Amino acid sequence: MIKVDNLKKSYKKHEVLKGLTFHVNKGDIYGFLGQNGAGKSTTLNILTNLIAKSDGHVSIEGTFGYLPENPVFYDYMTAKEYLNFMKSLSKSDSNIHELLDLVGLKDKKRISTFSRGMKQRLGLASALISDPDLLILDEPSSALDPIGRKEMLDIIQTLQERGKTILLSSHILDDIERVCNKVCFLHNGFIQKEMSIKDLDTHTDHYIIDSPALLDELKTIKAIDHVVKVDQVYEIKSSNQDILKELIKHNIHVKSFMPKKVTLEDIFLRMVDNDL
Amino acid sequence: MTYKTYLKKEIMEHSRKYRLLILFIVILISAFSAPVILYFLPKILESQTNASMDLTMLFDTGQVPAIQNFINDMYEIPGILIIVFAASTFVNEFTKETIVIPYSNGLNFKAMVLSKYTVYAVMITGLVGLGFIINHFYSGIVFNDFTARVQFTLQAFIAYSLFMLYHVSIVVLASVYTKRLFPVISITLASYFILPSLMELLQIKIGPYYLIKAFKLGPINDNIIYSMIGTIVIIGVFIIISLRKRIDI
Repeated sequence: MIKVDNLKKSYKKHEVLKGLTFHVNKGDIYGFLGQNGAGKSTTLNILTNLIAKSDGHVSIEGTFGYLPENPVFYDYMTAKEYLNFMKSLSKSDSNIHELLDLVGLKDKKRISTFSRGMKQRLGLASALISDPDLLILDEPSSALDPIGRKEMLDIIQTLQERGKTILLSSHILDDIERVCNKVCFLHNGFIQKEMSIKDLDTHTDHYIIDSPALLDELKTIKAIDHVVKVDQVYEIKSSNQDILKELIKHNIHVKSFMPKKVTLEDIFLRMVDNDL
Repeated sequence: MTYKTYLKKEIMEHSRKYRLLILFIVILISAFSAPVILYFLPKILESQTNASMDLTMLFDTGQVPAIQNFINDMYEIPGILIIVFAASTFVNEFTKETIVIPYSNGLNFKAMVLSKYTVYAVMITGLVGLGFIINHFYSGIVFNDFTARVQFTLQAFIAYSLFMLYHVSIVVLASVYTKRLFPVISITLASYFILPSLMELLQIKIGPYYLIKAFKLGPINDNIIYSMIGTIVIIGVFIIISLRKRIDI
């Protein structure tokens, strides 16, 4: 659906994107992660033809709709008038009432009186105006309160169920983890890591063990990279996948053993920490 | 489609942001006040002085001077308003980023600029024309003097309208290149207030700034006609250059 190969973008001498490569497949909700200022919005602006790339190749299959991070509208219009304006621009035959229902906007007030959440929802409805195959959403939930965020994520999931492919940029990792099936991490102008959300379950190198063994005993085991005592259990870090066998081999009595679920935040922080 | 869609949108914007109404009121006030002020000014001054002298001798009064006063007034507040409103119409699309969503949905930038220019040109020509008509006849009524020739008023109206449309085209050009309100207004106002004097100083007798000569009611020379044609050409060139600019939002 989206193919980005070796994408580069520089502003004067400052190179923001140094050769991005990632592919988004049909039906994906693809999370595009990165710190503030990493170049996420720049990438999305290139994808949506708002700015020119410096080098590389970008191709999008089918039609797309775009929700910018801070959607701005002609605020003297009502939501319905704005969507009619967009409908006329994009020559679509969308049903405005259905779109307003989908995003939960029925208000006849002018946009100037809308809250931030209402504007985000109107932005999403605008992105859907031409019934696109692909939605590109830039930080759709970052400025919303918890209820607004939940509603926005629910709508995104509904859209995926309706067959839309979604590229979702965010720095709210919980949101990404909740709705995306695939993610990539943008850092220092490159895609540092690309993974499936399912991989999070098998990606761990952290384990929680309940054992009467002493901390010093555990520290002597070479397969353990790091160990700390947290409450009554130990949290150990080990790159050895057979760490349980290693513990038993060292006559450590293990009452319980549990891989600690890795979150996107863990991976993201490790990636950033490595850079520091 | 973009052109027609933006035509409707621009009309809605000018109406709902009261630009149309404000310009209408300002031009209307100028059209009515110019002859009234000219009529009453000598009488007011007479009442302020003790000497029983007829001050009307010191003032040119009548329909022609009243129209001339109106044209002079139009060069001031209404002219500045026309430039400021034009600048906000074009630049706000970039500074407020209202263009982003339409642009990412396939907006044809050229059609948008053309429709904005069309609506604005029709709006100011219409309002200015209305002002000239009202002032021409109202001045006659106030002074009971109908010696001003319609042809001369019409020439002044065409020259003034072209001069303003030329400045709106400067606004478009500056907007596309700078995308910021302050430089756009500064450049255009500099052209509006400074360049006419400079051109006169340099004795350049052709071009948009020479149109000011036609603001004086009277017969026009060939240079003014060539200047009118030349101004239309320059407006076209400015618009074409603006349309050819690659836009990074």
